[in-house]
Formats: sequence, structure tokens, C-alpha cells
Amino acid sequence: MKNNSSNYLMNESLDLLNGIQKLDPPSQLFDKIMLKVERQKLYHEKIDGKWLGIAAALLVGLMSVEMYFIFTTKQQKEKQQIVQLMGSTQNNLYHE
Amino acid sequence: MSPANFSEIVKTYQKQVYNLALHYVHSTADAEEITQDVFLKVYEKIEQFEGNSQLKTWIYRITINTCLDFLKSKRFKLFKTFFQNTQDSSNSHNSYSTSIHPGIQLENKEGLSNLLKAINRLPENQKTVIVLLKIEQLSQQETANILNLSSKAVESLFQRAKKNLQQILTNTKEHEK
Repeated sequence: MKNNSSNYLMNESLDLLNGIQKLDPPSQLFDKIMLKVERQKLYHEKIDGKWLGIAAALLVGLMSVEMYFIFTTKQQKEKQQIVQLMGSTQNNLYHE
Repeated sequence: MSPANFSEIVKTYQKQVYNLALHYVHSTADAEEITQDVFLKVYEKIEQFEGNSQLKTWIYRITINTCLDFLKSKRFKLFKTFFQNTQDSSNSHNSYSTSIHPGIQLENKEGLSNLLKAINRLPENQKTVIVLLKIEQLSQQETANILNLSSKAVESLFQRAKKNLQQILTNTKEHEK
């Protein structure tokens, strides 16, 4: 009985919520939304597409040039080491 | 999507989004900010909208999630200011004051604002059910579609919300005495 009456009171209180008026959004809100969307669109256009492709290609190019130099200098060092080792067998002390 | 179509969507749904945001944040400035964010998300995700639900339902869902995220970040900011203020040993009660919903008419201002304050203290899903069923006056089925729940689950959430609300209101009254 008590539960029923309190439930009824609660429903009555909740009916108060019907009295909340719907407000019209400010007139400039539509323009603000469109401006924000437009800015976002421009931002995306700037970042992606052509420029992103060019940046990626440049990065790959730079990395491959670097790899080429690393390998060639390594090979040159190895060759030099071999030449030095060979040179040491022709020491003057061994000549009679 | 063509700009003309998008502007048509904004024109059709901006009042709905703005008012739903107001029910959550009770401030016109915050509701405006949320409305802008909602339509930005709509613009970015419209390609992903599969049309399984109505556009209105989908926009409602985005609005609710944006509002809840906004409130979470606001609560975090308030917590941060409160923490900083207590460290500075200054009074920060004003940071926690809840504003009054601008849609409340003068005649039942006090009763309604107390009720809304109590609704704000409910768990997120219970609060959302009350907002959709009682303020937005949507049907149980529409609410269920928006929340991706069954109609029965919405009903049980609503009953739980009412029970909790009653408890909050009784506690507040006892506290005031």
C-alpha cells in the first residue's frame, strides 16, 4: 500500500518534467556548425591526399639513400682491412 | 555527402540535439558547444551510418555519448580545480554549484530544479532513460532502440531509476530538516 502510494507520488513528480520548455537554438548556431565542419574539411584536405604521398615518398627515398651509404662504406672498410693484412706479409725484416 | 544534404540534416535536427544536450548540462553555452561537436561527428561518420536504424535514433545516440563524455571531462576539470584549490587552502564551493535548466518556467521552478538535481545524481543509464522517456517523451521502444537495449531492459532501468530517485529526494529532504 505504502509502495503504491509512493510510486504514485513519484510518477506525479516525474510528470513535472513535461513542463520543461523546449528552447530554440541560438540563430548563429547553424553558421557556427557549418564553419566548424568547413574548417575540419580543410584541415583534412591539407593533411591527406597528395602531400601525404609526397612526404611518404621522400621518407622512403631518404631511407634508401642512407642504407646505400651504410652498405658501401661497410664494404669499403672490409676491403681496406684485407689490403692491410696482405701488406703486413711484405715486411722488410724477412728479406735477407 | 553533399553540403546541401548535410545542411539539411543540421537544420532538421539542431533543435533536438540542442535541447537534449540542455537536459544533461543545464547551460546554453555548453549545449551549444555539444551541438557543434555532435554535428561534426555526424559529418565525419555519416559514411559509416549503415541505415540499420533511423537517422534520428543515430543522432540521439551520438548526442547522448557526447553529453556523457562532456560531463566526464567537466567533472575531471572540477576535480582538478577542487584539488588545486584545497591545496591552496581556498574555498571552492562555487565550482560544484549546479546551474538551473533554462527551460524551466517560473511557476514550478523550485520543484523542478530539485528534481533535476536529483536526476543528475542517478547513474548514467538511469538518468538517460528518465531524460528520454519523461523529458523527451519518447516511447519505450524508441528509447530501447537508441540505447541498444530491449524494451524490457528499459522498463527495468526506469523502475530502478524511480526507486533511486525517491531515495535521493527523501535523503535530501531529511538533510534539509
